[in-house]
Amino acid sequence: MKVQELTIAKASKLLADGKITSIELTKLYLARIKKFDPEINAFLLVNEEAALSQARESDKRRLNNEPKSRLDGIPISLKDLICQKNVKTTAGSKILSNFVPPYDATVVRKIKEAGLVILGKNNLDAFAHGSSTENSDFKVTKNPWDTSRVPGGSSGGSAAAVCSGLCLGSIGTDTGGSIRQPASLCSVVGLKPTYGRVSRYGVIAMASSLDVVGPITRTVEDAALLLEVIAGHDQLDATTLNDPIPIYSKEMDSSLKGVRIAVPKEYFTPGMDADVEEKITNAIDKFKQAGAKITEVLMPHTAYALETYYIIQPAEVSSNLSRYDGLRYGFSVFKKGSNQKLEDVYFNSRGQGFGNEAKRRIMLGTYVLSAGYYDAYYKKAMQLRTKVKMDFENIFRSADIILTPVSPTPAFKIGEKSDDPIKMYLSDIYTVPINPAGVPAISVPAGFVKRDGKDLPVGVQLIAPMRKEAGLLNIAHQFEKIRGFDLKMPKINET
Amino acid sequence: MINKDEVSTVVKLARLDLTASEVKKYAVHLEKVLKLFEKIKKIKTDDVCETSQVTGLENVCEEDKFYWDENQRPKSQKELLAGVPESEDGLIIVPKVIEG
Repeated sequence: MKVQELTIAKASKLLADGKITSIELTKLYLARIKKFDPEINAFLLVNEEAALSQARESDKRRLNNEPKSRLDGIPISLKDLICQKNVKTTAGSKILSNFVPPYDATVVRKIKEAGLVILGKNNLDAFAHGSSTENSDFKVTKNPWDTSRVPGGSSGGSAAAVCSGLCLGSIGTDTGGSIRQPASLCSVVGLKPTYGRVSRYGVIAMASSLDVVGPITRTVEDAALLLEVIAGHDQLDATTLNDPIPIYSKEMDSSLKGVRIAVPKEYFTPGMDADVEEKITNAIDKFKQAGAKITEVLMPHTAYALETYYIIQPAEVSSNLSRYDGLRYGFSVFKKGSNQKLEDVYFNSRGQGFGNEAKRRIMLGTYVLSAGYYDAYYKKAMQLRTKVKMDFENIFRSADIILTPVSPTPAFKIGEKSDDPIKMYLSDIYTVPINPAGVPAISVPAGFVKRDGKDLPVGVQLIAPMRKEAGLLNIAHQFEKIRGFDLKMPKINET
Repeated sequence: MINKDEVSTVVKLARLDLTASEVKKYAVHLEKVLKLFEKIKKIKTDDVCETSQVTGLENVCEEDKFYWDENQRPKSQKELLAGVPESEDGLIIVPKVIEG
């Protein structure tokens, strides 16, 4: 059994055919984590005992012909923003470094109900604030293709773990590109579903009107399989869509003939690396050869999407992070019996508990929401959000899919942008417009470019209309078949 | 554009205790980010509706029923309060809120 060739789809078939057991699979990935993760830093926590016991239970069910689902026994991991009952969940932040949730997020409940094995929790930018995973308060995850570079973020631990074969898939979150950009930088598939497709209950909130939960996997089929597990209406999240969930993985056979693909001019900016652009152009050519109809289009409000996003997002961040008050949970300076003043407990717990980027975003969000500035910034951004959303609606009147790059550059060096928030924010320029619009989008590997003699991955972004994940997954799956290279895995130094 | 006093006001509103050097650093960052926002101020949006949500869902109501998955229900008060910084006899201890 070669890890390089294993996918969720293949492993679940091997499990169903009795050719492998969940305990073998789980031990394989646990051993790889032990061997390679000290170099990559993709995991904040590995739950060896629990994973092995879940695998044993799964094997029993398979033996009795009573698997809970097709994916029963498949080992995956979770971005550490997702609450797992009785398992430390830190959001990558010092303020939650000892937080043990007394409940499961709905996605975790669904994963358990489907019998999957949870190996552990993946590193992230603290509270998902970032595009490089350097903002984690605990450690910096490295890009497995070149360990001097970032894996992207904020779901960088998840993408790095999946691409280096430390798990078969991972559940991430995406507020402005946090699933798609690391997927692109690590050569894995990252799906941001429609807003409301997957419950946010128990997922530590970043910006509630933008946050979505989605899978990071090696193939599009695997993304479809995981989406089937986690998607659906949830009584505990009033923003979830009440649509029936199709079996996405069985709706991926339609050809690309006649598929209308729009390519917006505004996404090909001077800031993009020439060889990255070449990979995107190659992808467009492949679609054309397969019979898709390509049209160049204009999305004029793209120019304001980054600003719109970077006002709305910190505003919601500042509001969501106000719950960390040092009294109910998380880091606190308060000691009972002391004479500390309430205000001091708030100020000091937050001042000492939050990291750099969280503080920066809280301040920015507080500023744009404050009296005197609300209309100029927040209200304006909410109005521009309407314009950004309308751009997408206009294009989708005559197109099935919008195709764009994911990131203007391949993975950048660790430390290269960490002192300059603007530089870091600009690395999200092609992914942030999607979240204010709410539409689903996927990042699919499109090739490699050379930097310092090393192969670095480049992904292509495909965007679909609201609620149309099925069509999106089909088109992405068809692209995988014609893109002209096979799944690869980076070579990682053993420790 | 943004001065130290304004930063101090924001810090106060945000309930953050920052050192003087932090205030200085974030003032520079805020200034840079706000500069980025300058160009959107000029766009006319007088008759544009605001978008605060994208799904169009309205009046989402659930039955007036207590919902708990039995497998999820914490088994004890102790379990529920395990993450509280300071507690006593099943109560959360907080500093004095109203000064006498």
